[in-house]
Amino acid sequence: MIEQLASATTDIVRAVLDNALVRHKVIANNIANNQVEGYTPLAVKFEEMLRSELQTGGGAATRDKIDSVLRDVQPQIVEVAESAQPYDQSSQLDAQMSEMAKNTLKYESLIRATNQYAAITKLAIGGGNR
Amino acid sequence: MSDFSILDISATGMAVEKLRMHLTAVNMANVNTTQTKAGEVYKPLIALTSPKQATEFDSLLAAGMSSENIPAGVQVDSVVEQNLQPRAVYEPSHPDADSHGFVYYPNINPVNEMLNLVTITRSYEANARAFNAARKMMQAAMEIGS
Repeated sequence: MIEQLASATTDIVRAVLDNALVRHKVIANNIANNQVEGYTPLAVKFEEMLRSELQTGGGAATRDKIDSVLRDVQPQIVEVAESAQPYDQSSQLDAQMSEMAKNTLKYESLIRATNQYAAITKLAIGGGNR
Repeated sequence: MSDFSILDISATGMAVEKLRMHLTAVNMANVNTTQTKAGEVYKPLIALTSPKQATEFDSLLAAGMSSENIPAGVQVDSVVEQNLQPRAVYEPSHPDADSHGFVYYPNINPVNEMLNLVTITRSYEANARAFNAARKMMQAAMEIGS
């Protein structure tokens, strides 16, 4: 089994990439509903849950643990609590736009990192000959 | 989660803002309409919107998430006439004047309508940006491994 082709890194990156699409969906929904009276903005919880799950028990995360955590931890779409949004209706759009830019950049940088990772693996397969 | 509904959400947003823009234009165009086909003074229109509910199929795709929170965009519930008190103007020679010489014009505030127009345009742009961002992300995903 080639370690690089099915490593924990690629699995985690894939989960985070999938989550970025869910987050984009939620942000797009908040933007689409920004003129709807009484709409409560939604948010996605994922990375923090992933981190805390991977850290429970302490010690280095084994392959089995990572597999089970990735299976169990799914993105949660939650309503943003009233107290957590001191913005009025108009500035909320700005917040969503910056959140969207952040999410897109994160997604693209992860894709780039994945490509680099694949390039390294390709180099290894080719025995260092380009 | 690579379904294309990610683009549909922004599309619903743009469609709704377009309808709002349409209604604002109709209201502005009828600012001096004293008589509609129904024989009354024109009443400005407004769209009532609400978050769109995900279809059953979407819910199945998003298995594991709480069902009422699945984002599906925005929808127009209805287009209603605003119940504004008409503005009375004394014009005895006008064919639509009542027995006291008053003509009733719709009480449309052009400043409000212009303000609406700006808000709608910005909102539409925000949706278009979200659409483009999703497209960029999908294009980036197709570059993996190339």
